[in-house]
Amino acid sequence: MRQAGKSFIQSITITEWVLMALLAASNSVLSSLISPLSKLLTAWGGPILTSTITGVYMVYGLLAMYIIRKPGAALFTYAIGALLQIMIGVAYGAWSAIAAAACYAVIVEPIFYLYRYKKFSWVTMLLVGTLMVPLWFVVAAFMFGYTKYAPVILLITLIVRCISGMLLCGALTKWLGDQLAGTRYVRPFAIGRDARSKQA
Amino acid sequence: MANTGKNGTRLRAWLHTIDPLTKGIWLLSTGLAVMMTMSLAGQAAWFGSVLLLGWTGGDWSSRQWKLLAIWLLSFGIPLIVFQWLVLPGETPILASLTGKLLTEEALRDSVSLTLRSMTLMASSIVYATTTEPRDVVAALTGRLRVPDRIAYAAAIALRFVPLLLAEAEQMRHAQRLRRMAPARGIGERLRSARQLLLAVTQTALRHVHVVSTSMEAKRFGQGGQRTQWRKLPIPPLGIGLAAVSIGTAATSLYWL
Repeated sequence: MRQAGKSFIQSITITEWVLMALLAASNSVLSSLISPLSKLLTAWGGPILTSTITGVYMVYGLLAMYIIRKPGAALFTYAIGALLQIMIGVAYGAWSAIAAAACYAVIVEPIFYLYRYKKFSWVTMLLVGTLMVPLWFVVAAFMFGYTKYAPVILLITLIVRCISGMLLCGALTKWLGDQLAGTRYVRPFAIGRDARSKQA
Repeated sequence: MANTGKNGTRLRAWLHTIDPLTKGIWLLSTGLAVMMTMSLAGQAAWFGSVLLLGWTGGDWSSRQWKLLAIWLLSFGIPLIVFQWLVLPGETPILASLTGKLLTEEALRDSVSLTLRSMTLMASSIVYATTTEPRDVVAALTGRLRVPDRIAYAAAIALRFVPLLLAEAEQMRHAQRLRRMAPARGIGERLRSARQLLLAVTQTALRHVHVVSTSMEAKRFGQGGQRTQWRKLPIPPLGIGLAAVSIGTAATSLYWL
């Protein structure tokens, strides 16, 4: 079991580990850039308005999966991201960083395992972006006390989050990945190899 | 709370001398306790305890305290008002003026939930400002046996946050200069945000090759067990803090 876990980690190359680290770092940068907006939305609109930008926080792990296309890519990227957030301080607490990373990874990894890491169409990405939302929403509802709100507010919040996940995570990741696919930056990764084989 | 010793040398406040693991136990126990507690008194006590820890052990300057206060108030007060308006309740306050809109129960729940959010935020800031990131990496690899690749990937990510942040600021500035005017309207702002996002991602990817080449040149991950130059002792004070945190959290979960 331990050996299997070890080889699972070692199947990812050093370049891919660095890519995952840098994506986690860029997520922190983007989070800090939109942090004032996020706090403003939370303070003035509670869970509903905050949910409009939830998708942005989920992009980095899905983008890692889109570029690397190997088991564990999203899991490790979200894990590195959570660790990084704890080290530099996270506005919603350490538990939220850990729980969010776990909830996202638990959804993304099995879906792409079922697709054998080969299907990354628009439909798949929009679907994954949407499916990543509900589990974390339920966990967050208990963590931040959203359960005290009226059911109709919770339902609206969930719908807004799903739309945000679909557009700001699924669609944005697909768009970003496709923009990068032809560039030299992703040449050593699966997405770069795929792009080259399509051109040939 | 900047302390100085007899010969004028700067003394580190007590939270800085504790290892990241036992402090991490405090952080997670506090988080768990506030998330499981709904009582207003319990939330207020936990929030007070975090501020007390930050005050006695955080070594924060008055400017840092001011920033924290502004941050907490600008977030907390509007959130209390918002939640007071939307949370359900039975006993009206100022019924002649507001009818059943403002209730006692909603106010209590609103303050309680806001204190919960503020405690989570403040405890995370206390941890981050009193902990050396390289100590976290040393604790992960040395004590928790986390694989080197994960721990060092987190260290790399941490190293690049300020660099990428500075580059993102530069790009934003360049975007503004190129247009000679700030972005107006939703369409223009979205286009600008999209360009910035792509540029930040491309910059991060550009660094990937430089870092991974140098790591491969140093044969990272190729040899056997990595040796640790930095030893991380767990002081009795840390063990005490962890034990008190677990005990208080358990008591809080039982009583509050």
